Amino acid sequence: MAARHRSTAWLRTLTLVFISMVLVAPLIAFLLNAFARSWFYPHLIPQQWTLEAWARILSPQSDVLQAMGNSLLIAGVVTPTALLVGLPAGRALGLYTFRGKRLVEFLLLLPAIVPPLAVSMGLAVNFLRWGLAGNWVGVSIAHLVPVLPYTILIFSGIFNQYSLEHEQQARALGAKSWAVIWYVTLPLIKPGIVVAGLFAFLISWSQYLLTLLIGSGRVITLPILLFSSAAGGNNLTIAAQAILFTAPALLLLLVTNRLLSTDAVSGLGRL
Amino acid sequence: MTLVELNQISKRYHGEQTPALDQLSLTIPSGTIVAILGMSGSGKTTLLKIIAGLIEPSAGDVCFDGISVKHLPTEQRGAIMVFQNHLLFPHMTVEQNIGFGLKMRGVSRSIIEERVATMLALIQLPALGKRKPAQLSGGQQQRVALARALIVEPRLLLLDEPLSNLDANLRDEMRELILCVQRHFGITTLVVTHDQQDAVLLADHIALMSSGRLQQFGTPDALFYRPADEQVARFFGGVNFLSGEIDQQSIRTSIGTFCAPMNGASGRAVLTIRPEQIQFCEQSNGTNTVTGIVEHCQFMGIYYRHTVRTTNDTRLIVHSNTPVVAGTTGDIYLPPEHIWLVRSEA
Amino acid sequence: MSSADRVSSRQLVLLLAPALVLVLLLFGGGFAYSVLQSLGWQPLIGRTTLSLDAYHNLLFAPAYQEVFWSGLIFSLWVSTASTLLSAVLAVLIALLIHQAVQRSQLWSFLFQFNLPVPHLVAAIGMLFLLSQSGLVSRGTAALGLTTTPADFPVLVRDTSGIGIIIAYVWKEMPFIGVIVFGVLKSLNASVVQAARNLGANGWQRFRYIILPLIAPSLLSSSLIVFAFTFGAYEIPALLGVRYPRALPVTALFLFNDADLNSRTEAMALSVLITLVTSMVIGGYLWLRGIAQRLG
Repeated sequence: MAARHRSTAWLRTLTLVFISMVLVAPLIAFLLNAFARSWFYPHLIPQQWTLEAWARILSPQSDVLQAMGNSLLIAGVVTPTALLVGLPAGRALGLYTFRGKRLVEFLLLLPAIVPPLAVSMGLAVNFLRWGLAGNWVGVSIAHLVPVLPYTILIFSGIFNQYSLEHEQQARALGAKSWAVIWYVTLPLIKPGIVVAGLFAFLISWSQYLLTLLIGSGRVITLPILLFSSAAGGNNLTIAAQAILFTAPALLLLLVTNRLLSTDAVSGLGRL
Repeated sequence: MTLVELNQISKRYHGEQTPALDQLSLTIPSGTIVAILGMSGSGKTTLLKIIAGLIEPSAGDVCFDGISVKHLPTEQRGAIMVFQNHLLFPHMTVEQNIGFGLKMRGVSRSIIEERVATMLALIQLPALGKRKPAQLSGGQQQRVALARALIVEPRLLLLDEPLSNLDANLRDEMRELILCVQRHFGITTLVVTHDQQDAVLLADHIALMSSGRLQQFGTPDALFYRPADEQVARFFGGVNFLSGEIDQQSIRTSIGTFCAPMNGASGRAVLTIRPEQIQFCEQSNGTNTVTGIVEHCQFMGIYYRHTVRTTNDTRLIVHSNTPVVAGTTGDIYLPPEHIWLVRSEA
Repeated sequence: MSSADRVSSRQLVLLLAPALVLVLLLFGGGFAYSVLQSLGWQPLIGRTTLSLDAYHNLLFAPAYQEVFWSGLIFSLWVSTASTLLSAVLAVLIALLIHQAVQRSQLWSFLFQFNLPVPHLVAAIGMLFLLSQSGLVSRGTAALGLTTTPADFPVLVRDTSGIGIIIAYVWKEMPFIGVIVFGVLKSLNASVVQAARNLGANGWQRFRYIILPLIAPSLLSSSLIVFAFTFGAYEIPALLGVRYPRALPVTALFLFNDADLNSRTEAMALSVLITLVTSMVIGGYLWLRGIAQRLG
């Protein structure tokens, strides 16, 4: 029986290694392409290496830097807004039961399930009327649609496990409402704020369709740039931009791996 | 009706100094109930799982009816285990749970239905077939688990602490059920328990385990009155131990010399006698008597517990139905037929 | 959650209002406006009467119906294939990782690895790997199986959507896998042992014990994948061809059409896509409600 165990263990490890390789393969392709000066068929590794893509990217006139700046600006605005709005909503859903709660939950989480297409189109036409189309303000507002459900979901999960005793204790000791929030609530849910902030940032960072429609092609974020590069650029540029685009998400996953529950991690898959 | 032999079973876990089981050998007579008794950590559940085939021993062999089953995986052994926390399948009804083993063997649905109905009647839960385990009480869940094991007509029935999670009345009912079922089907049954009363009430034989080793194997009677050593005696409530030197047919202790059956002992030994067998007697200077003073008399409900201080401040515990007031001086008699000698640990 | 907490309705409203208002305005408003536009409401060009003309056009008018029906079949095909493949692979791998007791931490981390990779990047990655002069093609050349790029099959930008499906499976398999693995971990391993002891072999244990217990999560995550792949734009836009074309890509194409009249059809199409998605999710919730009531 021991021998049979050993051979199935072997097969299992082999399969897992193979699948891991398949999962990692595209990323390796990016890495290789990003430093390849010339890499023609049928060579398996680049014949000549170069750093010129990166030099180009980091040069001051580079459109990549500009696009990254836009992405950062928008995500940087969306994140605190989503946290500010999502935290109280998540608190209400996580701590209390009330009539109509299921309906409220359903409504607030709906934007995460419904495809962005119809909503984005409707918003785009409207924003045009109100002068919000084609600028970063309109795009930021629009990004709230996919971002909010996730922050609400995360905070609701946090507050589900939260006990009000600490706040009650602080109040009994004479603290005013804002003091309770600042000195008790926020520190207690700090990991949750980090995770929710991460999600908000990453979801906004990786938005393509929404930015395209609301931005009317005038707001160039990194994914917009990447998409147009991919539709007909050279591999070097594409790969470098793709790495820049993906890096924050991967880094943040590595850094916060322990903080994330299964639900949170799987939620990342929606990016 | 299976004879079970365990030969030198050892189990050592990675990185652990002491083995969970240490060269344990045991023969379980066919068709009997054997209680594997011991405190937690004695290795009894590990032993049960090794017999069931859920754990592999580091060394040693398990034989059913003389044939080694060591290489048989658990699904083919026919040693069915009823777990302490029943482990009923939460997504199946009671009927589906009970019928599970038969379904795995490919028995036809009509026969399964029939047998499940019989089982439900046997465990006295005929109306609960369509319920899910979560809707049952602890006692009911335990009975369903038992039925699930019995229905496949196992070679061996292994019960892991079947009574531990039940309160007093349910315990009696469950004990009755186990005895009734075992007598009816005649299946060789192993019951793991830490409760010596359950062991005594249930089992034909008791295997007392401690730290992975077998201390003694025998009838409840034997473990009670003829313990193999001081540890076994203490486990069953023995409290009177006098060490001494054997001199022909008696043993010379610090409080006197007592006649006692020798059963092959010699040299240093320990005299042990159960508290309920020491008798208060009238003044007598007969053999096997000791003079002492009652220090303490405690009402225990069914009997009175006396602490008697004798020579050299040696204390003996005496149980009797009538109280003897503290402070009374008198003689206590140790009947030789109730004295048992065990090995001296020294 | 303490039942002793009494929270006033006023407090609740204050907590929920910002989020609800935003969602209703932006999401609800956006969608409602799309529906209105799809029904012909185009004040910019003076049309204010409502009708189902756009929908009718999509389904039956010669200008649109070819694109619609072929796109519908194509999108359904891609979503179904991606979801099924992802689900099956996810269960297999989750089981493998679960059984690899020793290094399951490492393996489960490896499988979470590509979750934060955006779909757009996944599509580009597939281009790098699977195009006729891509890495895999060069691999087969090194093994002697092919000699020129043309020998390698067309896997991306092909008419069967193979590249799209592969890209989706690459992204969604770990998504479902993480969820299934989470359920597997929380399963009482002893229950499976009890089944084994009662005579169940490996396949029986999977079919009767493990599968029923992971089924709810598996089903719900699969439905999310189906709904998502049906309505997503990026991957089919990058890896697809002109015909047949996934519905979301057609919708955007119509939306950007210089002829503003096509906008109505674009809206109608996106509303239809949303409807299909909602039906799938709705069906799942309905089924789940029935299952829960059956106990």
